[in-house]
Amino acid sequence: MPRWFWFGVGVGLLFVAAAGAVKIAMDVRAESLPVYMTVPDWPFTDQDGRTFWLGQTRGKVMVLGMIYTHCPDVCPLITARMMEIQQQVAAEGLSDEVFFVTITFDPERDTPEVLRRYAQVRKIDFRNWVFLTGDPSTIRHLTEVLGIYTERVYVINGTPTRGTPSPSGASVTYLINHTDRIFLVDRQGRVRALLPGSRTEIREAIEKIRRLVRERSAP
Amino acid sequence: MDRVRWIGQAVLFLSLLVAACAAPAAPGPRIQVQNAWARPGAMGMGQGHGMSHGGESTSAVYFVVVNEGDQPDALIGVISDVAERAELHETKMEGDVAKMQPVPRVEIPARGKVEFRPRGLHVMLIGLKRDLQVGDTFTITLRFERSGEIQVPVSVKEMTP
Repeated sequence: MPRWFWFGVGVGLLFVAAAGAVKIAMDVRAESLPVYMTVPDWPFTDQDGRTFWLGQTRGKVMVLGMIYTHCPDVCPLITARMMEIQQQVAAEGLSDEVFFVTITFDPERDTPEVLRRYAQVRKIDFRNWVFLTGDPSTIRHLTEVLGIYTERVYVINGTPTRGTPSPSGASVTYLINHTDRIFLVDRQGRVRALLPGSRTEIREAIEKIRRLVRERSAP
Repeated sequence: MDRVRWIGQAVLFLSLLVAACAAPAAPGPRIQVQNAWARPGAMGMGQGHGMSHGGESTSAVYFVVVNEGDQPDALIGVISDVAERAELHETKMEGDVAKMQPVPRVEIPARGKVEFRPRGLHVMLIGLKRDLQVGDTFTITLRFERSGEIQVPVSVKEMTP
């Protein structure tokens, strides 16, 4: 065979190999989830009163929800969705790879004891789930970083009102309007999926968690 | 003669029976409450926060109100032994933001139904007097404007949407 023939075969093989590498890279890119933001490594207090740094979850995939325990309607649904995800994660043998974090955006009322009772009455499995409260300014900054909207609405004698009331024997409490969201965070602490909180589809959440678990290193 | 009187009485009885069966139901609402359930909740969580019930625990009750009558009615209040107060509330979603507020009354249309469900209308229990655990049952009393008070059995579930 002439030399130019083997040269042509070599060039062809190189071309095929390069095309394959490009396709694999494109497939990986198509499969990888976007990066939205990084979860800050700030200190909080868990349901048992111990300090918990969010950075402690690095190395695991984190399912993160923000709630307030006095919310009777949407926040319990967020917690219920996370419970379902936790059960499915356990069923797939991934409990060591995935950690669940619930953080209150109402730290004035949600003390560690309140969070513990909120979780206990729901029979939460604490082996890979922590409930956090903390310094109000830290929590406010976290909501800003994560894009969680919160707005207090005071209710005086059953009537909602804007602004802060000055109680004078009236029946006063407050509700919190808030974003309904669950975050999926990768092993590097980066938010990779924004799930619709109480409306989260478990199948979709699990599929994305599997992808993040497979990512052993940064994409 | 006795026979004629007996036949007459029988005809009269049958006539009254037919008339009673054919008479339309009394006008007005006819309210039924179905499938009532509540979320779990822990009693007396936390402390007051300078407010009358700022630190008290909550739960929510959901059900379906069916009105088979030809007149509307309105749900105007709720009483429950398991909570200090019970209020009618509604959650509305604006984009991905959940906004909840009290509502003074809920209209129940004639020959219609109103569903109290997650992310919508619900009864908010404020200041639980005992834990509500999955499997527990309790009773609430719904106060209707025209139909009066109706007692409703409620079971506690961690139901998902």
